[in-house]
Amino acid sequence: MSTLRPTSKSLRKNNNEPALLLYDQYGAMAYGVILQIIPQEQLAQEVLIELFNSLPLLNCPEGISDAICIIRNARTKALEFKNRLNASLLSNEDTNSSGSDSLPNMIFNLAFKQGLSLEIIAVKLGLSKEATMKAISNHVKSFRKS
Amino acid sequence: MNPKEYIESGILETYILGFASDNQQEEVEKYVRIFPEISLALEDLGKVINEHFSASIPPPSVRQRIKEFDHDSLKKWDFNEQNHSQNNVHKEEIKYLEVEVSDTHLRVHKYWRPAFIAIFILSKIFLAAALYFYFKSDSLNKENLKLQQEIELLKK
Repeated sequence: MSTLRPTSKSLRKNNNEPALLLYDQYGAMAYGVILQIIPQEQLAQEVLIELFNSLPLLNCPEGISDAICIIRNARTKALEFKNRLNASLLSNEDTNSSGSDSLPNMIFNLAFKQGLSLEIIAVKLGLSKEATMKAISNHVKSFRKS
Repeated sequence: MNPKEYIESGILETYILGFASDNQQEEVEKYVRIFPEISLALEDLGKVINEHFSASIPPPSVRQRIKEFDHDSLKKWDFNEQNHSQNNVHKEEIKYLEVEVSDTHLRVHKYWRPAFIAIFILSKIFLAAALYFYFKSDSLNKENLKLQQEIELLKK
């Protein structure tokens, strides 16, 4: 399945062609994921470059598609970068969850953009972990409608 | 385990977005291999999330920079990152590091190498030419002396 695995050898030979193929397919998606966490376009582009240049070093389990692998790693990279830069530099109106947010949206923002674990969110909001997962699921379902 | 209930529990969304714990990740990866419906649901969810986040298109310069990337520099970057994080740990203890340079080597510009090689080769050529002309002039001098002696003998 994965085009990540066969590419790793050629990538180490300074051939970035396979990374470019993945970038052409999933670059916009990864950029979108990163922009959610780091709204500054210039910084988001740096993370995007770092993500696609480090693809051979990433672990993608068997049976999981490249798209899923890239979504997960894009978020991880963006959160790492955000932590490195110090979160205070990246002021984002979205991450300052306002009271007008719906619960699924707020949970999604806390988990996705701020990198809080589901356990912490559940404790913070006085919910069970299952309810937190369900809220995220409901939020993702709203992607289909939009 | 009912695959439908498992899909509706929201764990697949949790998995794709990277919120799942290690145990949950292993569980999803195991069930993906066992249940085709879970695998399909995961793929479908991947497509939905892909479409949702693909609204912004990065500028062409990003692609160019990925194309031009040198993977050897990644190793250097990792090494620098490690050093950087180690330095951060000790930052509180050591503010400045005193470094005494005791390097006895002389650093020269890279163009000195071909210059040295050219000078060396030229010196060998001049040495060979000098020896050749020395012996040649020596033999000519001897011959000249011999001829002068013969002329003097003929005059007598």
